[in-house]
Amino acid sequence: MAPLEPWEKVIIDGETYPDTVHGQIACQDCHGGVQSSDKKTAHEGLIANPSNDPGTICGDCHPDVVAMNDTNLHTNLEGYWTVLNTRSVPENHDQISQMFGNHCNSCHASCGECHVSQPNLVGGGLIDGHNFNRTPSMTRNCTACHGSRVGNEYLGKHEDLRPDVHFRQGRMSCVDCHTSHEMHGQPAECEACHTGPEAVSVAPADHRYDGVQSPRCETCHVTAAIGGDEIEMHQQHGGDLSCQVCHSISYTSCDGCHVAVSETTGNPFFATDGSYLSFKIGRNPRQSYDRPYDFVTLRHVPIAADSFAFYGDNLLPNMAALPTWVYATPHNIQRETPQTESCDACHGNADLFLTIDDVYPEEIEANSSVIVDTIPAPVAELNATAPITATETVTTTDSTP
Amino acid sequence: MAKHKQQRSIEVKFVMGLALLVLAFLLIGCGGGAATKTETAVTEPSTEPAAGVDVAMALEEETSVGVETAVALTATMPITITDECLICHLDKETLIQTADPVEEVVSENEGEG
Ligand code: HEC
Ligand code: HEC
Ligand code: HEC
Ligand code: HEC
Ligand code: HEC
Ligand code: HEC
Ligand code: HEC
Ligand code: HEC
Repeated sequence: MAPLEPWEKVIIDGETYPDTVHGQIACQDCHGGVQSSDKKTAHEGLIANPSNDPGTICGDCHPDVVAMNDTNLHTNLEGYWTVLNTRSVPENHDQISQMFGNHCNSCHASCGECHVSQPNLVGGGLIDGHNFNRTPSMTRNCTACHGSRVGNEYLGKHEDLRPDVHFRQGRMSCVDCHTSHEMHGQPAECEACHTGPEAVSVAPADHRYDGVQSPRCETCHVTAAIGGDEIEMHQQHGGDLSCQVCHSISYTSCDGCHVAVSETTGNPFFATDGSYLSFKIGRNPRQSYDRPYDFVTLRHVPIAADSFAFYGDNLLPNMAALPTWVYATPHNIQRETPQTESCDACHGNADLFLTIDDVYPEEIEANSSVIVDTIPAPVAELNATAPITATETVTTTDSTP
Repeated sequence: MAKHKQQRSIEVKFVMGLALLVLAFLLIGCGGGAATKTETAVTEPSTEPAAGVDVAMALEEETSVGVETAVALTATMPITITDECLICHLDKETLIQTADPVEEVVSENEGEG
């Protein structure tokens, strides 16, 4: 998307906006500032991002959405804190907080960054002449933040890799799966909407893969999920493999992220050792009632023991508390993939699995719960022989392309 | 924040094509601001819908009949905008003139984030 000119970012559509509900509210009620024809005076005390304080600005009229906002991962970034706190110790909290303020807080999404303007991360700018759009734009809101990984996969930006079938064939946007129900957080009282056994209160999600799996492939593809169709692989593997294990293709992993503050400009910056495309099936690090699969796709996250060394020594002493190969749901679903070609495209093919030799030596302990040591044997051998181990398979698969 | 409902600092009596609006503002708005300072804006809180809303609704009904709307649009154009914010933020030329110079931000990020 071409970057917006400075004036384009701030021009209001006089034909449509003033007559909308929000257009009836005085600019100053949300943005502060002073009535004046001189720009400098007018902008005194200006609040550029009013929806950073939605309780005051939006709460009177949208109390239901605002009430859930504190539990919204987009607002509280609790997902980052959960993994940081697990890898760190309370004594390091101050330094981690300082790091977080410099490098992570800007990722937070306000109401306006989904409904009114482009995210600040990409320089802001009104999307639609200050109209409050009900439906966020896929490319100007969602993938402005979720571009380098999810967006590029979904839209097929990687050479030789097709876009996700839901985009290519279904013309679906992010919000066709990620509804407002998910994007706004969770109400304090489940009972407000649900009755019956599921109304037991659950704590709000503290991570993107915590709690109920939503959205969920199985909701829309019931027959595939229960093996109720003609496809042998569905009948054989309903439930023990995540759908992505068979239906996704190479996706992005990253290595070695380091953050620091520039000596010359004073701006925070990061550097990663690199990102690459790969495809790895491993054991499920988050197996639960909501994510029952034994095997899932995994991606490498760029955290390293010294990622935050700029802020202090040994800030992540518990690196082994969580895997660096994490649960992943690549957004490049295809009906046909290399794995769906035949049972033995997967069975006996150690390349597809995260085996010990795929893992950096210093990360083996952290990943012991996800590393696969027994590759499923070729189907013909399944009944004949006991499962073979990874080390043995590596040699056999070296000769198979 | 209940005051929004009463306070109408913007009064667009008639909504025109954007081109016409811009033209009008250039003439009455940004020239010296004189016309815009007249204190017509602070209409008393009333239970009746404000005029602008009525017109907007009428227009909406009419837009389904394209030709008539076009005729109606050129009929009258009493525009009173007294909100300084809006005067400026509707006008491309003023926005270009007053924009801060774009700072060249050299990103020191390396690799994909
Ligand atoms: C109901 C509250 C509300 C009112 C009233 C309002 N705005 Fe906004 N405005 C917002 C929100 C929300 C954003 C998006 C930024 C954010 O909060 O994330 C925004 C964004 C903007 C931006 C873009 C900032 C950027 O660079 O991304 C401009 C310019 C702006 N508003 C001007 C105005 C003007 C002029 C008026 C009066 C005609 C006005 N606003 C009235 C809430 C409001
Ligand atoms: C004075 C009351 C009021 C305030 C304050 C207000 N809204 Fe609204 N908003 C409404 C009403 C009424 C609607 C329904 C409009 C409609 O159906 O045309 C609405 C609709 C919306 C919609 C959906 C747009 C659509 O076309 O359906 C979004 C998104 C929204 N508001 C966001 C916000 C945000 C964000 C804020 C705070 C920055 C905010 N609103 C402040 C009254 C308000
Ligand atoms: C301003 C940047 C920004 C924008 C805009 C944004 N996101 Fe996010 N999103 C994030 C960040 C940061 C997280 C991680 C929060 C965490 O893990 O604590 C996140 C998390 C998520 C998650 C996982 C957590 C959850 O609540 O389910 C989903 C799904 C998601 N975003 C989808 C979307 C979609 C769809 C859109 C567009 C409607 C969108 N995002 C717009 C920054 C953004
Ligand atoms: C991460 C993106 C995201 C953020 C942040 C976000 N919304 Fe939304 N919002 C959505 C999506 C997606 C929808 C549903 C769009 C649709 O159904 O077409 C929605 C719908 C709405 C609607 C329409 C009614 C409804 O509930 O479906 C309103 C009003 C609204 N949002 C207000 C807000 C307010 C107020 C905030 C901040 C407290 C906010 N939103 C923050 C993504 C977001
Ligand atoms: C066909 C449905 C579908 C579409 C369309 C879709 N997603 Fe997802 N998305 C999912 C599923 C399923 C998950 C995993 C949810 C879970 O396990 O709780 C997910 C998870 C996510 C996550 C969290 C996990 C991660 O990889 O960080 C983000 C962020 C996300 N989606 C963003 C997007 C964005 C941005 C778009 C649009 C470009 C999009 N999604 C389109 C189904 C979809
Ligand atoms: C919100 C509903 C929804 C969700 C959630 C969803 N899908 Fe789909 N899916 C669709 C629709 C609709 C199509 C049909 C697109 C078309 O063929 O026009 C589709 C198509 C497909 C196809 C191609 C089917 C064909 O005949 O070509 C596959 C494979 C698929 N989905 C797998 C998945 C997987 C895996 C997930 C979870 C990551 C998922 N879907 C999540 C609605 C959904
Ligand atoms: C063990 C591998 C495997 C797993 C796991 C798997 N699939 Fe499939 N799936 C296949 C194969 C093989 C096909 C047929 C491909 C072809 O047409 O060549 C298929 C076809 C499909 C289709 C298109 C045909 C149809 O029934 O509409 C959909 C949709 C689909 N799968 C969804 C899913 C979903 C959702 C899941 C997770 C619940 C899932 N699959 C898990 C192997 C798998
Ligand atoms: C994309 C990978 C993949 C594909 C394709 C696949 N499988 Fe599997 N299969 C596995 C994995 C991984 C296991 C180990 C599952 C576990 O332990 O829960 C497994 C286990 C099995 C088992 C049980 C073996 C045991 O010792 O418990 C059978 C039987 C089986 N597969 C048959 C098939 C058949 C028949 C097909 C083709 C129709 C097929 N699989 C396709 C990955 C695959």
